[in-house]
Amino acid sequence: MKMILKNKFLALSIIALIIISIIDIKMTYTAIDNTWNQLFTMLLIVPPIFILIGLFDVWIPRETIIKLMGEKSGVKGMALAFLLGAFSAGPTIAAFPLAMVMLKKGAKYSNVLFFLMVWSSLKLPIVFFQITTIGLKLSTIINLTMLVVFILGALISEKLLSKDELQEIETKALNYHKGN
Amino acid sequence: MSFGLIVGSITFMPPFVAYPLGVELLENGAAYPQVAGFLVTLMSVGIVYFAAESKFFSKKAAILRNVVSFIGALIVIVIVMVMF
Repeated sequence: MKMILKNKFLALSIIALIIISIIDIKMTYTAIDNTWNQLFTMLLIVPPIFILIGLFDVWIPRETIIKLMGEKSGVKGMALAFLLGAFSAGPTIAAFPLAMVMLKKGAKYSNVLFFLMVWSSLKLPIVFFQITTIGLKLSTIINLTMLVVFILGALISEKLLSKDELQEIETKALNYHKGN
Repeated sequence: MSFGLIVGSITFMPPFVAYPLGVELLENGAAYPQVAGFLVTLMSVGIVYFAAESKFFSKKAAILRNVVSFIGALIVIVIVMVMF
């Protein structure tokens, strides 16, 4: 029972899969096929990301991150977060562990949040691809608006979280490598 | 319009599939604001990632990030509506 509660999302998906297979077995095949594909993609992406995180953790001292992206970094920290996010590749989920290490090293929460948001939708390779497909005008509107929203959103989100909640996230980040 | 937003929020696709899909939708007569909203939420709002995100940070932080992205999508829709 404890195991089910701990993996409630897995349990829910399995139940959903069973219900689907009662209705239509073909859908189950498609679902399993998709799961396999996703798993394979993740296996290709995850190891390099973890190596990167390991190097990040060892090579870059805490003081540097605090100076560059900490509480008093201001515009510089935001710009750095933007650059880090924009020159990345990979799905959003790969950004979470990286963001965690940043927090662990003492980066400001709003900067980390901004980095996550930029990663999720303003990656440079994707922006170029966007321009070639949906056109310059539409992609300019989308990207400029999202950039402004993300800057404001990151700052406001940090204000909306109380001191305790920020502290809690930080403690989580500090204990991250100890496996919770 | 809300349909595009909701579908975009829930689903996740690699961007190299998503944008050609957007173009196809436009060519088949979908309007610009809807497609823009769909693409933006597809990229930045990830309900699929919610479990992972709330585990890494906290539930409230995950909700806030997704809400900010969603509001961004709404603003994009309004601007696209005015411009096109």
